[in-house]
Amino acid sequence: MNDPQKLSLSFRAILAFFATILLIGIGSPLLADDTAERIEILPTDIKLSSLRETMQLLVTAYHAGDQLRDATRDVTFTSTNEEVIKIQGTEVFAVGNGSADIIVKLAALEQSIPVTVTGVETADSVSFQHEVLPTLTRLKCNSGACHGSPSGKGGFRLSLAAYDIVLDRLSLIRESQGRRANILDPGRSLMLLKPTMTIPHGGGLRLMKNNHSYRVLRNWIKEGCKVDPEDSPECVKLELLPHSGRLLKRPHDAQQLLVLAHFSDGSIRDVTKLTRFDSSDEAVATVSANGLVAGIDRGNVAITARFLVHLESCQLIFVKDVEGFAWNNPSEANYIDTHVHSKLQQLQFLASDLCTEDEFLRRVYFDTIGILPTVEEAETYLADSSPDKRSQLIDTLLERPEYSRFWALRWSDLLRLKKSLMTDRGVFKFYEWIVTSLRDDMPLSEFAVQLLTARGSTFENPAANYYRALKDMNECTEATSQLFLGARLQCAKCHNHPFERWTQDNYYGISAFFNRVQRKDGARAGEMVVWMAREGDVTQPRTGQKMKPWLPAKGDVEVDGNQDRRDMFAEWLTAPDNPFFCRVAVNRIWAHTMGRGIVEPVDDFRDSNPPSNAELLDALANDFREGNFQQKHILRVILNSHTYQRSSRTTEFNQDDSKYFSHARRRLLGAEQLLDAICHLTGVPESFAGLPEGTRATQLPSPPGHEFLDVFGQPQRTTTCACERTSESNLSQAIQLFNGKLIHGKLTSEQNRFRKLIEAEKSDEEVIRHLYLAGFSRPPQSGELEAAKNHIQSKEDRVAAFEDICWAMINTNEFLHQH
Amino acid sequence: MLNLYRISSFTLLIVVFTFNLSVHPAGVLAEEKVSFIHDIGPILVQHCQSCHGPKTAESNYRLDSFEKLKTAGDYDTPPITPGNLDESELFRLITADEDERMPANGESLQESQIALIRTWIEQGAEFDGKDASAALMSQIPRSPYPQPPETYATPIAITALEFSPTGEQLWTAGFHELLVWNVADGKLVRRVKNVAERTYQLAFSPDGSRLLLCGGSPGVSGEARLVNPESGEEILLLGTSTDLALDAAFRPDGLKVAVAYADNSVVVFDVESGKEDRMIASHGDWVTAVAWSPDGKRLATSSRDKTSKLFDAENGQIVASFGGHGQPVHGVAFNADGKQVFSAGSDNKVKAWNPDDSKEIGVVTEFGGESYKLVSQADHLFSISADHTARQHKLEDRAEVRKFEGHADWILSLAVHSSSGLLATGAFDGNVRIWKLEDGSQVADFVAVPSNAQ
Repeated sequence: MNDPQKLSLSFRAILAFFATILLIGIGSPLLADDTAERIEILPTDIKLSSLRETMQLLVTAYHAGDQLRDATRDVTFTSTNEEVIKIQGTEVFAVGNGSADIIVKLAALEQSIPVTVTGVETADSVSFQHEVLPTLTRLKCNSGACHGSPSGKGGFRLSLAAYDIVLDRLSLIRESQGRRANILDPGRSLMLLKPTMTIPHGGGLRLMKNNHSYRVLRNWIKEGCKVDPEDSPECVKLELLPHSGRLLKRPHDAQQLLVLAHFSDGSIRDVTKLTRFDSSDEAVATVSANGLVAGIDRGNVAITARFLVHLESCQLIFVKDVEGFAWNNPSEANYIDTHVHSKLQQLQFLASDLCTEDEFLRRVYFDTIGILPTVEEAETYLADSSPDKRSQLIDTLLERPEYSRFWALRWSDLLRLKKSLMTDRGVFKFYEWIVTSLRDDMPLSEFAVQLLTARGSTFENPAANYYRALKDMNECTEATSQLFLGARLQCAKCHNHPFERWTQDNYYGISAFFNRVQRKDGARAGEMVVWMAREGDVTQPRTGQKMKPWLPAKGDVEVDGNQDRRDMFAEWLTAPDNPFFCRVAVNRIWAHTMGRGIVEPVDDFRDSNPPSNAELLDALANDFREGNFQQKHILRVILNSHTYQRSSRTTEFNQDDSKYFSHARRRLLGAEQLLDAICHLTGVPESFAGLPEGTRATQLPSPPGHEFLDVFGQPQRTTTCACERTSESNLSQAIQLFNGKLIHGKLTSEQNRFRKLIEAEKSDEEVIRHLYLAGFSRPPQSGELEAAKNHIQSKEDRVAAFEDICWAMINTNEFLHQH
Repeated sequence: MLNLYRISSFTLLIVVFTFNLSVHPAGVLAEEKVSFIHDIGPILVQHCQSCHGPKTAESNYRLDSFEKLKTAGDYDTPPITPGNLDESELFRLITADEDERMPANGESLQESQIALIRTWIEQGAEFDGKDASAALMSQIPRSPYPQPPETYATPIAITALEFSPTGEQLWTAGFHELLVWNVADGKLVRRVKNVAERTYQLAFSPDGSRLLLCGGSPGVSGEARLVNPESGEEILLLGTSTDLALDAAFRPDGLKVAVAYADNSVVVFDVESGKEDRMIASHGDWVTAVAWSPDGKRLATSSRDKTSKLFDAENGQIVASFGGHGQPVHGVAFNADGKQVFSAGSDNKVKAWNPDDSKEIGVVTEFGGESYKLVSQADHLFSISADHTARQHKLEDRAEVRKFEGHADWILSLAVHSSSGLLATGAFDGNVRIWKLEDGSQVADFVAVPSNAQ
């Protein structure tokens, strides 16, 4: 009865019971206020220099084990002197000149921040440049779909994201006899009546009357629509807080942002309510107009803040506890796996198992040399029992002649090898030059330098065809940037880039490296000579300014009078400290083998498009740089990694992953690969006009205008964009596969593989097995063998039965896809 | 005892009566009937119709006519149920919590407005207008013109000015008023109120008995009116529009008026009856100016659609169209015999063109900025520009007579009084100058706003 043991047992049981309830009830572990070890407040000291100035406060609570959370809305703020400052919500307001502190309290932790208020008596009128224009950008009035379009909307035109202050001043203040502003009755100004839908507005309700943005515009009008005096301080830097890299775990997946504008006179102002915020992935997190980020699902995201021409981004990682998840610590082959696993563990995904040997065989052949293994090669590999056969196969394939030709296909796409652009002979020579560079594993830096500084006859120096394909300064600028900097600069030709920090000035600054390239016909037919003029400058078309050559991350550069400016660009590009070259190059190689870049699209690197695994990208880039920019080394590392060799079958714990490489990606074979595979399976090669017999599709120097290849997405090479090659399926493809002329021809050809085997009197089983090894690189499973044999029995015409089987094979996902 | 009883019941009555009054907010006593047309319609038009009207119908609900007001949109609940507030969704929404509250742009209706709607529904939600299916806008009474402020915080752009028939006074466009100045000493002598927000043209009838003014509120409404210049009283409201009336002109015989609108139309009115004779809808964008030929048979126009056109005023047919500016055209005038048309545009040029073949005859002058209104009077052509100058040319040979320089901002308006030999110009910064045509000297230079003068 009163047995102490029994009592304590039951007491423990009760305790355990309650503890369990507690744990179940809470779910994800909560970071309670009273477990915070310290708090950090930003900004660390505040200066308000007029009655109108406010400051958003940002508080971070740090807990055990490096965990942190945004505690801005959990703390209490108290002013030590309400005559100087007062705090409303999470912002501090100026009341009177003087100094005071803000006391910040979270449970037992307390900290104070000093605030100085001056200039309460100054007028501080609303700034057109630093308040009105950013407000229009924030409200998206001047976006490309609305009034920022080249012809405006409804007769009202603004410059895109306020890149042209002169135009905006005219439109808002003066146009049509000052129609849009009503200084004597500001609330009745057309520019306020419309967005508040007080009168009909094609753009709908875009502004609430009780909004800060409304007050900015209204007060500016009330003060007389003034423009800033000539000597006003300029915004020289934008600071977005908190700094990138935070990991936020549900339920603490809200984060307030603070945007500070640094001016040329040293002043710093809070412009959070004047900034336009965007999320790079709304499925991961959204951001409110006032900079409050809300996590939706796990993943990493970049929140960009735009204020005038300044663009900054904050990278955040959102994680949550996945029920039933337990990290299984898969083995690692090299650093790639280390980084990939680290990210998977962080986001709570599990990696799939490694793929089977026949899957690996087929996959690595396609990725390195673009074609299927022969039946003999397949049998040999599958029978091989050495533990490192995968690694050996990789080494062998990288030395095969088909390797350089297949990878030359990628470069040929980007460098626009096209007969109509550079003549037959030109294409041939350029293609062979590329093939040789790849075969000899020429460092990519050398490859780039040769291309960029090429001159002379396109017959004698094939690299000069680079400038033949790129006909003028603009094409040189845009293509070179997309190719080597991973930047799509096109938008900046006419105005500042809407999504990135490239300005129109930057565009023309880069053009200054290429504007002196001249082209003229050579002596021989079809020859072009590329030469450099000794003078000539680029004029910015909007400002009329002569542009100095400009390099990203470096600024304007001085170049000696007669020096070939391209040398300087190429030197900068391939320098060890160049932040673009290596990352862009390895990302492309990664995308080709893994099916998706770490940055995707591969030629669209920007702050608002962050890499899915930044550490992985940097590690690969470093390895590339240290490996003398050579491709084979990187390929070897990638292909040998477990990450590359994973199965494409997903599990419950990684089926939602599309970015973090927990499993292999299924993708449709490239047009050339598919054609070659069909030819290989059927044993009927395709002939291409003007090329020697046996030329494969993956070795074509120039797109031949072949119906099958076109339908399956072979690029026409009119641009440098990697997006030209589409991998999306469409109806025409389905029709080609079902009853297209090409496939039909090969299936019915007298010379095809199975006919020859039948003629050699092979048994059904032998022929079927042979076909499977040829098409799938594996022997048929017993069920498949049965089904095939039954089909042959059921048909009178044995040949026709095999046509059916072969046709069926071609139409399977297993055949059509890289998996 | 009787006295006390009487007093106390009287007091009680007073208390009850006062209590009754205080329960019903400003102006509405329990018995007084709320008029839909006078009390409710204006609220709906001003605060609701932009989102629930012909251009945009949120939730597929419109209230731009009485019939539509009673028809439910996407939601099944009836907007109005006579006598029943609980079954009136419209009433629920205007008193709902912030996230559902109507109007949706953050500016809730005032208590007095909500009270009016409440009472109207309780009283049976009746319609006292003429036509339940017609647009509300056409049936609610005209709202009175707001009164201008005592003094202006800043000068306003001078969008119109005109000399009085004797030339002794100059009328300028003010904010919800017209300002009358002495030419001799530049002093403000009169403020004519009850005018639209902005005025874009002023013109006296040939016999001086009527003043034609046109203008409006940009993007909101426009109108052209005839006013008695002596008393400032309205004689006739000629026409209204959903955007500004940008120019208006008397026919030389004073019997007709042509008005140019921002809704792309030109309308001819009869001065006596105020009836609309004809509407010409040929332009593709705002009609910025209109001029009658000397014989009153034709109308020339200029437009933001980059053309200047010529119409037969009798039947409205188009006679000619000139596109030589390639930019919006802002001013138009005839030469002395009506056989040439002058037009001024954003290409900075004043051009002469031939209405017979729509071809350019020549460039009269090229400014350093956009060119606006044109006036042709007494054998001369007067033009103004954003380059701060006005110019005078001979009509006959287009030779330049003089440049008038001195303004510090874009010149937007001009007027000529040939018998006094005076030219007046008004600029974007509010500066008005009066010049002698004889020698180009300045007679007056002032900022046309009421400050301390009355």
